[in-house]
Amino acid sequence: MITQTALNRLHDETDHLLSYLDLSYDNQKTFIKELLPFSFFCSYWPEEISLAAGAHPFRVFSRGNTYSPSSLPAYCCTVAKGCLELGEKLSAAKGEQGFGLSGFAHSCDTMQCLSQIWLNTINKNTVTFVPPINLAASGAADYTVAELKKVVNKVSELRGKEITEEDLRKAILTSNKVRRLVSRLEKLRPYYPSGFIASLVRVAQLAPRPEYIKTMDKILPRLEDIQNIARENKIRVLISGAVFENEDLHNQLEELGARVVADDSCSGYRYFAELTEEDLNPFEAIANRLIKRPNCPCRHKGVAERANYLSQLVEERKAQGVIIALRKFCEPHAWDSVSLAEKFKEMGLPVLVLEMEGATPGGQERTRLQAFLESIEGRPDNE
Amino acid sequence: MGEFYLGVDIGSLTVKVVLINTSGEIIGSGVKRAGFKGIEYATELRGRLLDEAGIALDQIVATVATGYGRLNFPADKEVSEISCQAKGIAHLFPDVKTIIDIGGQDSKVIKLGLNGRIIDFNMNDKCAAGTGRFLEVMAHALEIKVEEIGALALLATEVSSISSTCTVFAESEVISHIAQGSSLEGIVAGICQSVAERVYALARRINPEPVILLTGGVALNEGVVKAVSKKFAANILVPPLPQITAALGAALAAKSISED
Amino acid sequence: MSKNKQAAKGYLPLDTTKKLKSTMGKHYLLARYHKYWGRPLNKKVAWVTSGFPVEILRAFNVFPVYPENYGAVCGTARVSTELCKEAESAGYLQDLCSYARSNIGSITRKDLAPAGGLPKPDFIAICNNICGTVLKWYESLARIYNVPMFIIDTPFIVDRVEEHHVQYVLDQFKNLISELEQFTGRQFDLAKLERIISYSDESIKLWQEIRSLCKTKPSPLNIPDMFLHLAPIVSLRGTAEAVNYYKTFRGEVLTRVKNGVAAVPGEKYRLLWDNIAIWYKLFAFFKMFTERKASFVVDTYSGGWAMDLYLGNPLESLAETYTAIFLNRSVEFRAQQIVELIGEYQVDGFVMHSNRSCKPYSLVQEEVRRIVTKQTGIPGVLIEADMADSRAYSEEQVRTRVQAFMETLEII
Repeated sequence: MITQTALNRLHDETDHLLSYLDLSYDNQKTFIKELLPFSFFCSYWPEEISLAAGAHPFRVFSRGNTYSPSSLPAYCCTVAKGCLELGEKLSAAKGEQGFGLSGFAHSCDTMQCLSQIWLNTINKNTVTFVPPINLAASGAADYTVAELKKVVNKVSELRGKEITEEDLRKAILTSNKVRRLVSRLEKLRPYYPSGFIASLVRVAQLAPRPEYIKTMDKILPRLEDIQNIARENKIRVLISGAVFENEDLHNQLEELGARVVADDSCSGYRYFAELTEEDLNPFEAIANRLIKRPNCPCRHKGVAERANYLSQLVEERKAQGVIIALRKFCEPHAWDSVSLAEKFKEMGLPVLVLEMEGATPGGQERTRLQAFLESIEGRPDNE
Repeated sequence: MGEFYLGVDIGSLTVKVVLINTSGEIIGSGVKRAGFKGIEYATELRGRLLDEAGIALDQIVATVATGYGRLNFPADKEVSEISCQAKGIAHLFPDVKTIIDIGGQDSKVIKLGLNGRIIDFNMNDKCAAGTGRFLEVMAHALEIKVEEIGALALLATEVSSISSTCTVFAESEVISHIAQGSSLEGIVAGICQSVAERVYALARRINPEPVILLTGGVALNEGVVKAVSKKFAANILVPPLPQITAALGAALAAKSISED
Repeated sequence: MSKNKQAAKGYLPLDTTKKLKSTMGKHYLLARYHKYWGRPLNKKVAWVTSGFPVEILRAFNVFPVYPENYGAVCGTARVSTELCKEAESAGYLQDLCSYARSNIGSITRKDLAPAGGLPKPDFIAICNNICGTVLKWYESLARIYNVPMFIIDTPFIVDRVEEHHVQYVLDQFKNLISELEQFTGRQFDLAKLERIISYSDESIKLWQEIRSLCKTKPSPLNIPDMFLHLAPIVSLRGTAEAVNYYKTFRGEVLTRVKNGVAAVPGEKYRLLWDNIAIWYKLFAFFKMFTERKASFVVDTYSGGWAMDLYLGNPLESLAETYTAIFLNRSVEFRAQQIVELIGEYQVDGFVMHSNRSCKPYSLVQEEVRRIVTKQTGIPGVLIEADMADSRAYSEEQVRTRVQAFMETLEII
């Protein structure tokens, strides 16, 4: 079993990297001052474009709790509200010039609206990329290429400097390095505390990519040396959902005796899945990857696609239960939860559909999670 | 010198303590309104039960805590109130397939399989509709005591329906019923009906099967029992002491952990 | 017209409403008995979203029915809430679109469903130009009925419609046509499509004209009229029947204009409406305004079916028209649209229904309101409710808001 000292040493080495998770306003302000930030929201934003623009792509993760901006109604999810809160604070700090660039990838109705409010009130240097919703549509690839070119032109214009295909190629190499590292990390989920792996996955969307690559190149081989790690006897669960702005759910599950062996959230592995081909025309390569990667509920590849992908993941990772963590007012995930829950029940797998207001489970959510895990423990095949 | 097990259920409104012996028989039980002094009152109740039964503290082999305050009570284990409720009810009524538990701030429905195993469960969302708290708010708006609701509802000749699910909106609906001169009994019956509809909606998702049992503090309210029975079109079983069934389950859980 | 009817409604009723009832009644009757002749006539039933280019389906002799229009019917018949509860017990959360929940609930609760529910679809067709929710809703339908699902993906328009948008939609049209040829066993007939488009074009022009007639002071119509008489242009789009219907409707409105007849007698305030109607409170809600001599003379919602068809070859024209729909556009576009309407219709104030069911319409309303008021100085108010689920409607809160808003107008 991995010793606490060994884990502490790892923490020391990841300390600086993980400091990018600190969402405190001062911290954000500092790193925004030092780097040209390119804030983005949805996992479909091609970070290669931000990198090629010589900027630092960072994903906007809010504090994940309740905040009520005046421009959004009560029935809007806390993901959008939280992003707006952060935006309001940061843009107030930077004044008229705003803070760098922002990139939206069109996804759900709520993010569509947020992108518009963001453009009008937070950052006028906002670019929206509209990927197809039907990834299987005829013409989807051609359209995506044309749309990517339009986005790159717009970003070049805002930066006052042309982004060349060569810039994009270099960016692809960097992004792919990060993706390979995260894929390796993903395989280690069963062996390390859920929150630890999840935070290393999430920080790959926040930290400067070169720093991430450097640190992880050093640490990963040691993490992968798992011969000395005794597998803890934990209940293996898959969690699925939209964005997790922090690791509170992972930590809560860990405390209740579970291990997140697969994380199908928009802020989890889905963002990193699949590589961009390195020797193809960069526009085509980026378009191909976006179409190929596992889709989120806002996009369509066939009515059984997500259920098939997730049940395959369940089998691969030997999950004993599935938790579908819904954010209150998140329509796309709520729609999918019905058929996904049915599918898992058919497979004989316990499912919990857990509705949460923010990213942090409260007392009531804890009760549900605990009862769910207790019912898995009580199943005859686990006794 | 016998051995005993203790179950402590610290809820949002009341604390409940149950003491059982090695055969699973209830030696003593107590209920006390708690508020924010849950742990203190639970300790006090435990002392009283021990005194009454003439048992020393060290004769308690194991304690399990459940309910909202479970995390802070010094116990051997904390178990969710859903598992405890299932355990307690299966012990008392082995034939029950569906439990409806309406507590102070939560309502839950639990479906049981063989030997009290939980097949599925559902719980209200972050909203007071269909809970004890909802009844309290409504009683306050009507300027009556919450304990009076049950008896009043049974006297109603017609029901003034409440359509809003939001507690705040429902309160303003109640007030406009009063303004329109509806009878107090009718409004109260409407309030009970609204609770029943809410738990029915929860229950339908787990496909309830008879025997159906209603437990939790709100089960003491005959008006709600009647409305639930009507909504489910079924006889509803109510345990003699509905408030303590989860605490009983906790005591039984204490017994099984020390037998393992 | 009977005095009673006017009292219930709070303003002048229309004669054409009788024709509306018979026209839509016939449509739903045909839908109900479609199962008896659908197969022998090789006429497939499609469930279609309100923004789908239905002309293409009609060219293949398809019989389209509209779950959204049906949602409005359920709302008006006040059965939506019960149907929604049915869907909720199947796991569809209460925060999902109430048209969708009504529709899904009506599949299993035939006893409650108006006209016995919609006929079982042979396929379903969705276009995301109105929202992303329709994709999820129709995916669920495709699973429930195990039928093919045809998608037309119209990308959100950030600033203007561009070549690659049109090209993408056209590619999908071509694919749709070949799939429909296989599915229906019919050959694509361009001449037929052109004929259908010309019917659409004609009813759109009539609808535009009727809307324009409300620029008259006093306005011949109050907005609930537009909501109700919208049904044929949604459900019967591309048919001669719709054209006939709107000719009759225009006739009555013209007569009112000629005789200076006001929908709201003594019209004192002219208002604009934004968002879908509150169907279960249609007249009761607007009565709060008519009582104060306020008439809603224009809205954005019924304007969704008043968009000119673009010129050019039929498919390109459809591609451009259906992509450019206002709900698929930016805040800037939506605000400008309201600013223009305020000028053209001499509007004194605007009311925005913050509709829990319709996020793309509602989540930007506060921002749109800010821009519009800044540019025009005209006050606007947001009223939170839901288009079909009456549980989200709070009588007292709404009344207070409306009253306060009208009082601000009265002071000005």
